[in-house]
Amino acid sequence: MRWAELNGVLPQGTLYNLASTYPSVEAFIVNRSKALSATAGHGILKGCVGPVDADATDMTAIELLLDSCLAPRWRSGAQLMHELRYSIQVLPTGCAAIDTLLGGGLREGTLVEIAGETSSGKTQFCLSATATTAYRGEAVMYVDTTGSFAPERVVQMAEAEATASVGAWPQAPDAELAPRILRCVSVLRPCSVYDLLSSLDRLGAALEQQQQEQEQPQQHAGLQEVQGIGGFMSRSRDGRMEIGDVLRPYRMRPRLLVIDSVSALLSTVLGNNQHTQGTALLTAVGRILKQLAEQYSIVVLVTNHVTGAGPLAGVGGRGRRRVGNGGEGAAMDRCSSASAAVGVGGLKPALGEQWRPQPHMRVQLSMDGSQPPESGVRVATLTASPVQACGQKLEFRIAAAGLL
Amino acid sequence: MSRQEVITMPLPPHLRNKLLAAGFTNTGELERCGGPVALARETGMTPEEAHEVLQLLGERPPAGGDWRAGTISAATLFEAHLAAPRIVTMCRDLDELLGGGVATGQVTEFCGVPGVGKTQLGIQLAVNVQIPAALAGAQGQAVYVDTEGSFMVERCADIAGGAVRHVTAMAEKQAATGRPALAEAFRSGAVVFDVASLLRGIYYFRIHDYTEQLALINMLPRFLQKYPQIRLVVFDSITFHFRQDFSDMSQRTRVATLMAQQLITAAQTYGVAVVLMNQVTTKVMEDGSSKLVPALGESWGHAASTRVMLHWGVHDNERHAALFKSPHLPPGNVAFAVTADGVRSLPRGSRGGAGSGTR
Repeated sequence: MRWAELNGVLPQGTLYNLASTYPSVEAFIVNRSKALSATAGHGILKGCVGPVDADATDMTAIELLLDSCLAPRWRSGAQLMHELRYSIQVLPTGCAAIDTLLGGGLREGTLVEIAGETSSGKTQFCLSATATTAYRGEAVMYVDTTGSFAPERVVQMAEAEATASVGAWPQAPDAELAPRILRCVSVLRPCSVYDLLSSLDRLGAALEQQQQEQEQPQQHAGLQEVQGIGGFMSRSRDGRMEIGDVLRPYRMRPRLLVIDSVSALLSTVLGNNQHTQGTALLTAVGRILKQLAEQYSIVVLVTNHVTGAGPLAGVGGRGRRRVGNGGEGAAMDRCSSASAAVGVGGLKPALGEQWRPQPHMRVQLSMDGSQPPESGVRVATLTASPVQACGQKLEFRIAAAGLL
Repeated sequence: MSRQEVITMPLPPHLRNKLLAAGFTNTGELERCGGPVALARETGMTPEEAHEVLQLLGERPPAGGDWRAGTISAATLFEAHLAAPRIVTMCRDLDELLGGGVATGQVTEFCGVPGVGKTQLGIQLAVNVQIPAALAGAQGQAVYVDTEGSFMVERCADIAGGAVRHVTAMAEKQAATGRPALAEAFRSGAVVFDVASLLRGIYYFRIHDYTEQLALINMLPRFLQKYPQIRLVVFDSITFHFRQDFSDMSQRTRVATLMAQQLITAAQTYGVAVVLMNQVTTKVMEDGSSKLVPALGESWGHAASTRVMLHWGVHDNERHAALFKSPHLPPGNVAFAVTADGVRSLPRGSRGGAGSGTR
């Protein structure tokens, strides 16, 4: 951060002194404990361009000011619990098995990764989550890097859900369903990591601006914004609740952000010693996605491909055999969850150890070895979650109606 | 308002380090610094370098209040999918498997063992893309990229001849049922569909190593822009040069994924069908059995949105096509034949025993 950004916060004289000594605010913060001793004349420090010209009490005052501007706000555990109980929503994905693994569905404010080999159902799962969310009238932002977004399939899954839940939407005739669903989904097709990052940045800026507008008191006569289940609804003059497309489109913030697949873009910059930015870009993508998720209560769903796991994946199996009779049950649980954390069936998610801690929850999809791939049967394993035990496996089937 | 960090911008390392040392952490600060001269003074760059940095900023579209800015509506994509022309293979079962034919604007992959008919299918598609629009064809030209040297011009002429006979017969049938427009167009020479014009409509590239292949793919967008009638690009085969020339596996993955990304972007931007022919390798499973999988492994898996495996039938001696990955089509297995005229459906007598699989 440049000193010029703090023009309104610090007095001009101090600002000028600090700016001539330290090239940036970060340099000051890093060296600040040493700066106190430097006033006694201990010489020029790394990061300074000259000796510091202020006394100790001034320094403390400056530090306090900077802390109040730059440090994040505290929140207590009780506040977090209250948020979890009353304002954080869980989005169903349309696939009962994966919903169970995730503890009810995709939770707002989290980054969920779905990894799996080719044709294990990752894109189908993303389309199912999109269809379910759009069917409820909420907006979805779909970032498609592999060219596999199929609007026909989204409509097909939504129509199947409509016929399954007869009576839920009595006023929406079938012909209206497809346009309504498709209006809720916006598609982005970035061709490189930089494209993706600038699009996410633009999304964040637009959402922030929208949030600031919403915080101002409502001026529209007869319209009242009510934040409730399913996003922003508006109560029209006669009091009837109208959802989704009645509002002007930009008011409806996205509930679900799908990136299919993030590894397609990141693999192009990773793995080379000469590409200095690779890891920085990977962590930046993870960081920005989590920031978007938390700040605007969005669910972020990303897909990843898999690579061979190597020797580690066999450790769980060997350990199981070596365990004796006593405590075998607990040890086997530990082994299966330990090996599941590494990977399932000899395959682990790609993008390496740098990407592994980025998502909050990770699910891996694999083929069921006993059934042919055409049957559509797949196995989902929970490989990482902060709230549930890992290693749990559930089966689901890819059918015309969706993921059953 | 934008907060994209400087470390994530595509800048050369020395400029990035200068910006970071001067305290610029995000693009918002760059926008507020007040022009290239001020930026150069603060960071110690030359004014040209500062101008280059600010140019990068200027390329990004401004952020507004609408988060949907810059996105495409799914409804638009839906209509585009429905309206996009499809390239038939002249085998009815195979066309049904693919949902009407090979889709333009997408990348389709056909993999199979040597000799099962990948090159035949590639040549057939390069001929069929030129079918006139009156017969629901794509009416475009084709690019054929040959990496293995398996393209034979005589065979292409045979297939073209077969296509001409087929199309003329269909035009006559249309004339008999009261739509003589196409037959008359053929007679008068307004629409030309003969072997010579079909061969002229195929742009042929012969690639000898992976450097040439990467250079061609880099050049492809400019080529497609220069010849907008192109509706199909066939790579036969896309992975041949990547299987032997690379000692560093991570470099191979990186180059292959970059190639995949460029092909996907080209297909979507110019509305061409990109067809990739791939080889197969044997994968040994955990329980000791083995199966045939497409070459280049998992990292190449996302390159194509639709993937078809060509194989010899287990129960009969026919060629089969199995669709195993598609965003919206169910998996299936059909049989097809390669005749002197090209790819056709199986003759009626033997279709009963061909055993079409799960639908």
